[in-house]
Amino acid sequence: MSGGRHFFFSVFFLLFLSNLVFGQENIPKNGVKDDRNITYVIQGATLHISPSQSIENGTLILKNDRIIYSGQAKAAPKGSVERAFEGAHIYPSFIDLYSSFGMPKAEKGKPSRGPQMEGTRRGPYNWNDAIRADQQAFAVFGNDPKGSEKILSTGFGIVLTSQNDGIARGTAALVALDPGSSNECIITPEAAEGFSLDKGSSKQDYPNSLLGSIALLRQTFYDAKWYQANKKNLDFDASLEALNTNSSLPKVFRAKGKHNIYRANNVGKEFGIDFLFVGSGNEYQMLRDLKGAGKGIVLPLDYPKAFDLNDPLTARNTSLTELMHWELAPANAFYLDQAGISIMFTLEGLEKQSDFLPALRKAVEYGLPRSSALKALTTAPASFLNQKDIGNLKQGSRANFFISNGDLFDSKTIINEHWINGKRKTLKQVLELEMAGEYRLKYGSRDLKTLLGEKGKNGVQCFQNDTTKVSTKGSFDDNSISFSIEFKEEGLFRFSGWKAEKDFKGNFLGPDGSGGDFTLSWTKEIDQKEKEAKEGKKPVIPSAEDLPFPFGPYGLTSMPIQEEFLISGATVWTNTEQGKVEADVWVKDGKIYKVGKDLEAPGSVMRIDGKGKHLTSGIIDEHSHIALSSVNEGGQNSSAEVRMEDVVFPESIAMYRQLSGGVTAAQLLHGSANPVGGQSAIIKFRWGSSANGLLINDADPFIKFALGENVKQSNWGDLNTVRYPQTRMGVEQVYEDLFTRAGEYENEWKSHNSLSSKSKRTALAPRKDLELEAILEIKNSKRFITCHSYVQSEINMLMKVAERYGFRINTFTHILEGYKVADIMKEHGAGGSTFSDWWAYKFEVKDAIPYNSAIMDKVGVTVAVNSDDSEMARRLNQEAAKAVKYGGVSEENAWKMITLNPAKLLHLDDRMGMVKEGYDADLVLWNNNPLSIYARAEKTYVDGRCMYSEEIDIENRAKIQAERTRLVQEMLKKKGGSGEKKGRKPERKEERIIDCESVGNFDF
Amino acid sequence: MIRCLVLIFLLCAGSLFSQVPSPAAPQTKGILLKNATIHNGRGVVFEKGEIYFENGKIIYVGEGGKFEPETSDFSEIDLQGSHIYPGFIALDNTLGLTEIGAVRASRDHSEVGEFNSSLRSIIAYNSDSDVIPTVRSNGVLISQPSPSSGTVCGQSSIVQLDAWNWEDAIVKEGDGIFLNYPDINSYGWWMDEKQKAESKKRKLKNLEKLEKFFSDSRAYYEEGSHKKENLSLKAMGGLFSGDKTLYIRVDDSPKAMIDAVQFAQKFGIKKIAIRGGKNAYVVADFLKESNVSLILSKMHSNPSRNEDDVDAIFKQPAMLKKAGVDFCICYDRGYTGQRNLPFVAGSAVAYGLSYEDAISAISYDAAKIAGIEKNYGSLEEGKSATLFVSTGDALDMLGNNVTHAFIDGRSIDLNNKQKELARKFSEKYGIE
Repeated sequence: MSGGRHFFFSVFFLLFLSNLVFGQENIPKNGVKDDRNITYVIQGATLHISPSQSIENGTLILKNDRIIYSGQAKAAPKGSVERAFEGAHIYPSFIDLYSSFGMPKAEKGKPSRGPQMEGTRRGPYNWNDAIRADQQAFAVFGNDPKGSEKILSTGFGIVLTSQNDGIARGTAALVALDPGSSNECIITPEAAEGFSLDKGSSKQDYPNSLLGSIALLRQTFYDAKWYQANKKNLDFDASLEALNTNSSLPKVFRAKGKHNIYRANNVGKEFGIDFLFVGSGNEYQMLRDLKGAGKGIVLPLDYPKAFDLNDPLTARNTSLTELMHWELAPANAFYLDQAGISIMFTLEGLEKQSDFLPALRKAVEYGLPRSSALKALTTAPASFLNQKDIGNLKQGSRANFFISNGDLFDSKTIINEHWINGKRKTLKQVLELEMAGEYRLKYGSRDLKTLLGEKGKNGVQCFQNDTTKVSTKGSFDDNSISFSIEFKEEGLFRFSGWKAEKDFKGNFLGPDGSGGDFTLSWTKEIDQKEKEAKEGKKPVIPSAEDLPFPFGPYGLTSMPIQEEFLISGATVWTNTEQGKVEADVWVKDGKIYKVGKDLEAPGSVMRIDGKGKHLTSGIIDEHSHIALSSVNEGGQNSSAEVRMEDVVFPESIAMYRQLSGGVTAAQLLHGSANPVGGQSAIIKFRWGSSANGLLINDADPFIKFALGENVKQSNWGDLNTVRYPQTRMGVEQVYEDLFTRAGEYENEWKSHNSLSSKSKRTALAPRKDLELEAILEIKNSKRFITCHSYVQSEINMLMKVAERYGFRINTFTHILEGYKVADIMKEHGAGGSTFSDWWAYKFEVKDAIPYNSAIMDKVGVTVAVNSDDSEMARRLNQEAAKAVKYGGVSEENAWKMITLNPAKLLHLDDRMGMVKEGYDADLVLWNNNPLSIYARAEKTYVDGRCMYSEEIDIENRAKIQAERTRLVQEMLKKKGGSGEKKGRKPERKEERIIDCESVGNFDF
Repeated sequence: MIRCLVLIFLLCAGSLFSQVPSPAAPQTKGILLKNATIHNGRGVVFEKGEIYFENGKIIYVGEGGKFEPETSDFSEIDLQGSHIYPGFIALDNTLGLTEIGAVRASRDHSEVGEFNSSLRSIIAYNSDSDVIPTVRSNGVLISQPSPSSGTVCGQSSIVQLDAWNWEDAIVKEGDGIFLNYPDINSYGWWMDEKQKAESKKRKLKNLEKLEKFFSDSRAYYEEGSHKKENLSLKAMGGLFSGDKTLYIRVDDSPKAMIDAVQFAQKFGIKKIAIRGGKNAYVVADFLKESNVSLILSKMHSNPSRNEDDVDAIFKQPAMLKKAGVDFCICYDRGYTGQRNLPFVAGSAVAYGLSYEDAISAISYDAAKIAGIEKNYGSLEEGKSATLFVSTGDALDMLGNNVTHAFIDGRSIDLNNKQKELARKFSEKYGIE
């Protein structure tokens, strides 16, 4: 009974129809049948028909579960129940699109000892336990009237509830918070379909990372299509079946955090799906990149609490980013709405549901227009679900609404009644007492200051000499008061009184039984209220254009411009046949325009004096794991399907720090948890741009392979002895198997594609397999391997595997025993990207030597020096210098190991790695020989944009200091303010070092 | 001819290969090193200087041409402008206590238990480790093997890096006791709220136990004679008598540094050194006023907070020097990386520390903290001839090229396993 069409019918017909739908004819009644069909008329309230239309002093008429009239005041029809609500406001029930109301709790089974490779769900479900698209929320829905009462007091009366477990979560039910049976609650049993990037209760190893979650989702969408087309030839899979059945349902994506919204939206775009995202409250920090994301974002309103910053030493543990977020979190909804992003709200994430309305009002205080707030709570979610008869008070709509004692956005307004499906639910709410305030208590000869009520409370407190608390017990309401005070010497005095205009009057009894009259005369509102009035002033927040990205220190409000400039007289390390020369370098439109002596440029070209300095191309780190939210998908021995591009983290401070060390580009690699890792992302450090903006356009695709102890899980403890392979012998077989299967896969497709269109229809099409497609690309030399490797035997093995399948290994990374097989590498055509001097940390690196790079270089292998470490990367120049120290490599060749050679290994040497006309203007100006320990990068350019300079950095430091000081002062003021009596204790998180072996997800 | 050379070479290499070079014999003859720039480790530089030593002791150090040995039976080496430095001193590491980090069987620095004051790292020190020669060939000649785990970790010793066994490696036995001070306000990055609460509880409990351990130790020490001996309490005695230094590891938290120092002072411990990291500059004044010295670690690490200055780590030595804190620089824990100690000192120079101060920070200042400065850490008459020669600036990779090294006057072999492997395979390819 989806809603819309009722609207077009006449009232009478509607009545008739409603009658039909309202009856529960098939349910036996224990007693006399009790169908009422009463008409209710609500008079005098302001009706908020829709976010943009309200009627003062209107009339609302409902019968059964429908509104049959809403509009200007009108007399009640005969035979109706009429109620007057002057001054009240009526709003359509709010709709929460992310709820687990009435759902059973997902059971987290016992943690398994050792890996779990296969699915364990009982039934004909998907191979992966995180794909639970077959779940149907309505099938397990059990009404929870007790739980719904708290929700109803917040204004929400309709929720989209689902089993929020798994990556594909199945269908969600649209439910009214009806006090009746579960049947009566359901508005639409399958109203939407849910997704996330969190595998939930699944204990299966795959996926064990964000990378894997995204890849699994992508593969599952392909599988569903394939299943649909080839169903009759395939085994039944209830999960894929459901994905197809539900394909036209609106889709809700629980994304957790701005970056995951961005990522999930990228996946959505691939499949033409517009998700509605459930966010986490920090989306305003990425406005530029979230505009136009899917169908909008459902926002939680759990603003961060203030920290306790009284101890400056522990206060250091709070980051500037946390402080900034604390200040601006309440403006999230405002910024998003202003940017044209469709927003909605959820109760999810709130510590207490009763925090919702105050938080909503705060959002309005921070600039969110009231109409936008109402839209976000009513018509926006309704239209997302294509439900026309909820979220408004129009004639014919469902009688789901609430009545408040005033405008909802006034801080004192409370919700008195919530009507669900035409049934009234009165709500117990703690009233703000009007009589609260500061008084003088006069009795006998005494005159005491007395406070009645703090916010929302009915307590009484008397003071001696206006400051010392006297032991006081008792309470008051807006009509009467009773309390007692006890003085140490004299004893107990009891008071009982009644309201007399602004004051209270009454009688008291002393400890000796004597008594008399007392008065409590009102003097003023409690201080609290003054404070609130002060706080009520509109907060000053920066305009959206002034929000930095990355959100935090060193963030930018816009990318530096590509200026035209000329660096004169520096010693230029060209990396060309010219070698090291004293020359001018002229940069235009992000490219090196000219290199030469005494270049003559027009006066408009900015001059930079390079005399006495060294100019080089930017350092390229061939092996990096920075700027990623996830590094390893180790759930299977091959994860060729995962893409580092999916998890690029553009706010990584490591980028800024490395720019200060002259690094301008890096290959972001999958870790080394499995023989076949994931697909690389190759980025330039365009600090301030989006994840996609960091990627180097048209770069050849790469993939990570790994050999040795990590992939055989040698150092993973005694439980991890199950996953194949556990030896180097097994590693070879993993490759043999994959390349064989990839070949077969190619043939299957070839023969399928050669079928006539008629036989195609009946034949079983091959499954699109993202893992094998990546392997096939390697086999066909369209994707290139960077292989983590140490020991000569395995290095040799992989080259032989490649040769058998007709391709070449592009790069061996780490390659610490490369010096033992340098001749074979050279012949094969493999490059080596190595550490300078690490060794002996594992058994397989006991023969690693710092002369490795030099020997490979001299044999004729293309050699790079890499970091695999966010800290070491910012001094890769020093690491390259070790090739001079240990191997006697010339300085120019050593320098190439971190610039031109990695560019070659990444197939980017046609535009990067040299200071040469036409090349990308990725340049670094050094104060010294760049290989020296005393070298500092003074300026670093990416695409001709100055991304780092010592001068700008100094300015940044001052700005950061000032901003931090300001925010700390603000926070100190707020502590003890309303609702934030106890500050959070700042904590210090120990540093996490991300390298090849890091498992799990991280955004920091 | 070439073949012949290769053969000779291979024979030589074969005899050396996979062996740690033999420790040098005691100095029998005086040695005069001349025509070098001498950095004495205490801020003094002699351009075109000379140094003369006999029986392991320095007889003369100073300007060239002003000294004549009493005997004529000495060897003279013209260094042609090379640099001479005191042997660098690497404090707090596991060199010789680990051979291969990932192989449990080769790790001997982490004992079970919380209060292991009687443990002696020295007896696990493998003077024949393959790693040691690779460290000393960069100029690091003295080291402090130290235990890692538990709250009171055990005792460290100071060793020189050219020895037959741990006994003759000893420069100072049991120089101090290491304490890992629990930082109440810090948590692992992986912890959720529940784990945080548990961690805090555990740390508080540990702190309570630690208090008791120290006060019991103090009482035990003052009691003098005992009916029943308690090895752990007894081992703590040196801290109260002033024989041993309490080395407190507090990595990044300035708050914990203050807490730790105050904790130690409460028990009347005389010699305290903080092995602290990144944010010591925040409490520089406190450290100075409390007369506590600092072993600065983590020179190769990222700043703690995103907003910290990008060079916060590198410039810290200069800041500490300016604030007047007694400190030395160590390379972080570990063993293979100790050979990079000269370069972290070099980084400090790039960010404001004076060159000679940087030398001191890994020689004399470290010797002082380890309590061996009377004999080691600087090049002064009467002290041990523990020094090395580098053709260039030893703090810069481009200059660090150690041609000679002496420990107590013994001319040590600078070969190592890695050089041999390089030689072996260079030969294979016929490259230099």
